[in-house]
Amino acid sequence: MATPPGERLAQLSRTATIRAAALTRWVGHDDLGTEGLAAVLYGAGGSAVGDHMDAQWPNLLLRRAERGVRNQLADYSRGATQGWMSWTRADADVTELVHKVYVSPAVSSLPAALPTTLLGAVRLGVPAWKVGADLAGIHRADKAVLYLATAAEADAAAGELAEALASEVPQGVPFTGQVGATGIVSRGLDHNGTSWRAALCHRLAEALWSAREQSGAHASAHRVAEDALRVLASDGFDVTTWHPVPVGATRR
Amino acid sequence: MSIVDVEFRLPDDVDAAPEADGQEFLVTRRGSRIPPQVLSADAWTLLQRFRVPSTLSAAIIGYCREHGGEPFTTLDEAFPVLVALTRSGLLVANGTDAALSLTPRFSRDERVGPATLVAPIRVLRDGELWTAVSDDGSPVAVKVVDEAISGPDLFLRETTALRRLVGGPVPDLVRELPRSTGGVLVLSFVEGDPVDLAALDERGCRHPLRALELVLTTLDAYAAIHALGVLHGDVHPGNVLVDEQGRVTLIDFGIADVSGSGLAPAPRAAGGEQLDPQAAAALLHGESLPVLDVAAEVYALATLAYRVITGSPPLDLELVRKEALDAITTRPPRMFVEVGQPSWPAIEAVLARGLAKDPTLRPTGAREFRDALAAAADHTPLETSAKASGSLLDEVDVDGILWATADAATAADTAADLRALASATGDVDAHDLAVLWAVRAGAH
Repeated sequence: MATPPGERLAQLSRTATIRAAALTRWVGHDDLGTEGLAAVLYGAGGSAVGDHMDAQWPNLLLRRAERGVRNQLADYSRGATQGWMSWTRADADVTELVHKVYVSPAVSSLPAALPTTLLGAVRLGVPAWKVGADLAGIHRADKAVLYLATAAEADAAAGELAEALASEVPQGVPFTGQVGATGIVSRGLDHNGTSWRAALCHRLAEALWSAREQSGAHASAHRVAEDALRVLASDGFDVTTWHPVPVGATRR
Repeated sequence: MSIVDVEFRLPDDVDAAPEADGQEFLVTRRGSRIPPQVLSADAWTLLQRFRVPSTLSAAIIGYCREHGGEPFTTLDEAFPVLVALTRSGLLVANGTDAALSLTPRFSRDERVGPATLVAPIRVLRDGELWTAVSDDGSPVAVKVVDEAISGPDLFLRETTALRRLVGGPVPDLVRELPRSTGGVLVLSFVEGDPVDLAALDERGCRHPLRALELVLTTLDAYAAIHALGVLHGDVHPGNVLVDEQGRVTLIDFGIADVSGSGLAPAPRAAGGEQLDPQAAAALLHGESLPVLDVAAEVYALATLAYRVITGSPPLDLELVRKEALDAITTRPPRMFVEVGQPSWPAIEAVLARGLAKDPTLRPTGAREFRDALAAAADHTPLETSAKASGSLLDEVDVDGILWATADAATAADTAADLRALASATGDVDAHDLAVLWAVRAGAH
C-alpha cells in the first residue's frame, strides 16, 4: 500500500483506518461489532513477541533504567499493576494528571530509550508515568505514558523528550498527535477517566460501519475510510494531526 | 476471647489490582515478603469491609445486607478464605503491631554509622535496604535487619560470613551496628543484574554459550567461598549479581553456614526450586530439615545453572506443595527441549549429575561441578531448525489481489503466516496485518 502523505503517526493512523475499512467489507457488523472494530484500531501499531524473548526481559530493562535515576526517585512511589509498572510523585494529585505524553520506541531501542525516558521524566519533574512491564506491554504501541497536569507542561515535556530520543528507532502510537520528527513521542489526553485515543477509536469504528453501510459492500476501503474520517472531522476531531482537541470541542 | 469476638482489619497498606478479566484481584501488602494473593472479586469485596475494624460475623452480615446472600452460607464459604488471609498477613487482629502500616525506619539524609542515606531501595516489614554515601564519598548500601525473633541470628551470620570472606566475591563490610532485633550493616555498594537476567542479550534473548560463561564465573565464586568454610544456604539468581564487566558478587549471607565459627547449624529455607531432595523428603515426612551441607549446596547450584542457561527451573513445580515436594524427590530434570531451549546433551548430562536425587552421585563440590561443565562446553548446543521467513507484506495488504479473493481458509492460513513473520521479525505491519487477517477469518 502506498503511504499517504503527512507525518509518520498520521500515516500510521490513516493506514490503520483504511485497513479497518477493508475489514468491514468481509466481516459483518453482527460478528465484530463497534467494540471489536474499535479494538482493532486501538491495537494498531503493536508488534508481536519474539519467539525467544525471555519473559523477564521487560523487568530487567526497567531495573536498568531505574538504576540511572534511583536516587532521584526517592520522592516517587512505585506501583505495579497488571502489565504495568508506574511511578507517582508523593505530592501528585492523580485526578488532575490528564495530559498524556506517549513514548514509543521500537522494542529493539528500549535498552537505550528507557533510561533516557526515565531520566527525562525525573529531570522535567513529571508527576507520574507508567511503563509496560511484561512482554505484551513492551510490544504494544503505547508502551510508556507520562501524565501531566496541564497541556503546556505536557507539550514542553514531549518536546524535550522527542529531542532526547531523536536518534532512537520509533514504533509510534497511531491516533495520537506526533511531537518531533520521528514519531517516537506523541500527545494524548484523558477525559472523565477515559483515554482520548480509546474514545476516538470507538467513534471511528462507528463511523466506519456507518460509511460501509451507506457506500455498499463493493466500495473501496479508501472511500469508506475517507467518508468515516470526514464524519470525525465534522465531529470536531483533528484527523490530520490526530492531536487531542480541548474537552468540549467535539460534538460526541 | 474466642475468634468470634476478635475484631479484624484490613491494613491501610494492602493494595489490590484487577486481573485482566476483572473477575479476580491481585492483593498485596506493601513490604510483605508473602507473594501476592489472587482473590475472587466477591472475596475482595468482602475483605474491604474490614477497612473498618470488624468481627468476622459483623462483616459477613454487612456484606450480605449490601450484596445479597444468606449469612450462614456465606460464612461457610468465606471462612477458609478469611483464615488463609489471616495467615498471609492481609487480615490482621485490630490493635496489634501487624495492623500498623509500614513506614520507613529511616529517612533521607539521616546518618547511619559512617554513611548518609540517599534513597530507599526496598522497605520491608523485617528490614530495609538503602543507597547511601560514606564519609569518603563512595557509594555504600545500608542494610537494616529488624525482626525480633530471627533478626539477631540473621545479622550475626551475615557479619560472621562477610568477615570470613573479606576480599572474596562478596560486598565489603564497612561497619556493623548490632541491635536487639538484628542490626544495621553498611556495605560496599554492589551494582548488577541477577545472574539469570544477565545472560540475556540486547534483544532479550538467552544465548546458551554466554549463559554458560556466567555459570562458570558464578561457580568460581562459590568455590572460593566454600574453600573458606562458608556455605551460602540461599542460592538463587537474585543473590548472584553480575556487573557490567561480568564480575560476580554473592550477597545475602543471613542463613549461611560458617564452619568453625561456633554458630549453631544454619536455618534452612523450606521451599523454592533450590530445595534439595533430602530436604524435600524430610518435609514430606514431617521430619526436621537436614543440616545444610556441600551436597545440598551443589544441588542448589545445579538448579541455578539450569535456570541461567535455560531461563526455566529444572522441574515444573507449579503444583500443590505435596506434589511439588514429591516431584523434587522423584522426577528427573526436564530436557532442554522441554523448556523451549536447544538440546545440549553434554551440558544436560553434567547438570543431571548435579541434580541427582542421591547426594553421593553429585559432584563433590562447586569446583568439580564447574570443571565438569567447562569440559562439556566444548560440545556446542544443537541448532534448532531455521524459522520460516520472507516478506509477505506486499502481497497480503488490503490493496492486494489476495485480500480481494481469499476465502476463509486462505485468510486463516495467511493470518498464521503473518503471526509467524511478526514473531520472527518484530515487524509492526506484520503484526497489524496478522490481526486483520485473523479477524477476517473469524479467529480473533
